[in-house]
Amino acid sequence: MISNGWKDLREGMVMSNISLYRLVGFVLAPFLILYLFWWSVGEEFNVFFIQLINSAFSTTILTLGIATLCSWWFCLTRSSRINISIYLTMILIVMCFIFQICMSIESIQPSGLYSPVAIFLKNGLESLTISLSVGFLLIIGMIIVKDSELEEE
Amino acid sequence: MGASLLLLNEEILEIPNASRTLFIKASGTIVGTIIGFLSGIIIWFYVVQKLHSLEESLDMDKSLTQDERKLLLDKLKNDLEWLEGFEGGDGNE
Repeated sequence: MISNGWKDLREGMVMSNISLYRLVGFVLAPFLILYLFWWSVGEEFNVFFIQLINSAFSTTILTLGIATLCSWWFCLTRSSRINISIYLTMILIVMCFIFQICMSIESIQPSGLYSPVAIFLKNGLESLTISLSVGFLLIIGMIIVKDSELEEE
Repeated sequence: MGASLLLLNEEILEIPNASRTLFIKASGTIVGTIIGFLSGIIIWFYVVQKLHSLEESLDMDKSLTQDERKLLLDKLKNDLEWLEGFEGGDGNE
């Protein structure tokens, strides 16, 4: 279903004579210019990398957690193989352990948060909020595209 | 154009720019979330694929045991009986 949507998007872009790279460049260029300017002015970018590492770790754990829960559900209710669930659970435990160690390093701790659980909760909440906003935007976009297609027909 | 002129001349125009840090922080969160989500999905798919590739392919038996033979013939007999009684179409109509 996702690959079909992606194919439709690519075909639509080719038909409308829009390049995907040009679109991505068009969206990202203002941010790049702004960041380069701020960097030249001497703005601190430490917070960007700290936030990036924390969010990446938290979202990886969240995604793996959801995947593990889904695999256990499929195992217990739909007789799927148990080894996938066991391996995913083991990887999740190892990832949590690594996260615990990494977040104990002071240089990558966000200001005001001192325990890995607090960092995980804060970043998890932020990531979920952003994902929901993006999902909502995508749904609205899809509805608008579908409506315009129906009107054309 | 106007917005970019203002943004690029905040220092000269003495516009308060305390929100810069928040903006940079939010960008870090968005990029980090995308990286984290993709890496989670990659780990998940890699584990599933690796475990599937470790499974041995099924081998067909050279001969049937007595029980298997009886089971198979019974099943075949039942299927033939069902075929004989089949009149075509849906029986509920």
